[in-house]
Amino acid sequence: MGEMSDIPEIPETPRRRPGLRPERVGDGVILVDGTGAEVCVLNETAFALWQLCDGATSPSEISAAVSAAVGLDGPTARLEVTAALAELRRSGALV
Amino acid sequence: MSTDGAIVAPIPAPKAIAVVSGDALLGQALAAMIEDACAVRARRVGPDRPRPDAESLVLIDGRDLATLGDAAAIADAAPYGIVIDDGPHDVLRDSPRRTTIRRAKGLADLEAVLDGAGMPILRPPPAAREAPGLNDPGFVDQLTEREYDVLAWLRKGASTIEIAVSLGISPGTARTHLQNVLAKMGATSRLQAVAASREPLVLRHGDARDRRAGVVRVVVGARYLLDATALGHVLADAGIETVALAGRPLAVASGAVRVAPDVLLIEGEPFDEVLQACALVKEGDAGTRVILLSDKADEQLLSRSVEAGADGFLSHLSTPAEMCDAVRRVAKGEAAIPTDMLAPLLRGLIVHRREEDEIIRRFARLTQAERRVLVLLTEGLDQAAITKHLSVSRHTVRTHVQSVLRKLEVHSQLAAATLAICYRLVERFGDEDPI
Repeated sequence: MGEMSDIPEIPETPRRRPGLRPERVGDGVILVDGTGAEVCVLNETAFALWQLCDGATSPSEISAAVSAAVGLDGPTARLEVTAALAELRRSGALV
Repeated sequence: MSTDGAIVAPIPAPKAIAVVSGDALLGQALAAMIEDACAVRARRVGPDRPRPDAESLVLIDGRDLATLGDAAAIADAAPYGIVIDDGPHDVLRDSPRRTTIRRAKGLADLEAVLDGAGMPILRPPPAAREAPGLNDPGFVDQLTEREYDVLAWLRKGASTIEIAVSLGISPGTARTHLQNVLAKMGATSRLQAVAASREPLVLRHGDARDRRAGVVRVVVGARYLLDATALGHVLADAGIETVALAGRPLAVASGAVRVAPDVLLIEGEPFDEVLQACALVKEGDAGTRVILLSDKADEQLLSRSVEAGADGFLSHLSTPAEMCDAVRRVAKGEAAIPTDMLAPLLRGLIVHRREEDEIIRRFARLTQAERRVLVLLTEGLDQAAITKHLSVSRHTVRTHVQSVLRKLEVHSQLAAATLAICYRLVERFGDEDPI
């Protein structure tokens, strides 16, 4: 139960936290806030998902696109996308 | 030795080779192949790199000089023979130092030029093969480019109006091309033409199942023998079993279906035909996975590739190592999409899905009678023909057509037909209610 309550709720249309800017490092991206503090480090796939969180796109739309793009079946794509968005929310990259 | 009174010192043999190309992948592949074959240092020089040094034999990729800046200046700076590969940008055509390597000749011209420069090929790479034609190369050779395109669409089951819309020509012109195709093939009907051209696509399972565990088998298809050889050499050098084929994309696909490799890596022109080739191979039951190679890192092309069923996408900005990595990943069942293009691709797919949902919502408003009229519009019938076909009054047909246009929110019958064809509305939903 404790673990379940740690999973942040994902909004119907997740939105990037305002004021974050991406900085490329090697194979990934660091999101830094207005003070220059590091918020989180993302791989390219997570960064792509974060870019789609514009407050108007739903997780199911993102999942369907991921499924079509990389050939994952629907349920697996939904699971992967939900986990990634939860992680982004937990790290403070999404509001 | 003297010429016109001037003393000309003998020029020593070049010590290296520079492949000047705006195409990073092919330029590097050519350089790698030449380095291995001739045991001399070879490198690709692009617009973002320094100019070739004075001791290099310079090979200029004539396909892409637009991105190379002043090719004439590069030529003037090089003391050795300048070789212009054939292409549309033959800016040095008046130069006495120009020699042409014809891509379509595979290694033959390249070998002669290198040999003449004192760099004989010591270890020839396996040569690419011409991809087999559709069925009888005799008739394929007789087709014009446009007629070949018409045949390609016919093979996909397209109607005359679909062919016209797809190729951006009038239905009348499409019909003329179609008649020419039938005449040249000696066919009396479309079905006969399609049947004749489909025959070589039958899988030969004996070949298809001849696989060794752990070995990735790839068909690399390119427009020209030289390019297919170079790309194939890079893959073979990385331990990937490769068959290199050259020709039109559909001919390459036809050959690939027979070889039934784990992966087909294909480039070609026009890109629409590459997409058709991809769809054709994916329809087969050999489980071949497909990577498309485009000369542009273009998000729209990537999106259309995914829709055509491609498992991977590479641009000519990719490196040979990335190409090998993509082939291995795709062979394992993964997708290979350039990471920096993933977000735009997903965004494009989301937007496309929303547009499609909107179109389906509009189509759902049509009555059964209006859908019947729409079907006839997609078959190229005008209102008079529809009247005759449905045995109803002209007024009724006109009313239905106006309703179709209003409900689909388009301004012409052609636009309505195009919408129905592009979104496969009739094929997918027919008389059923889509929502």
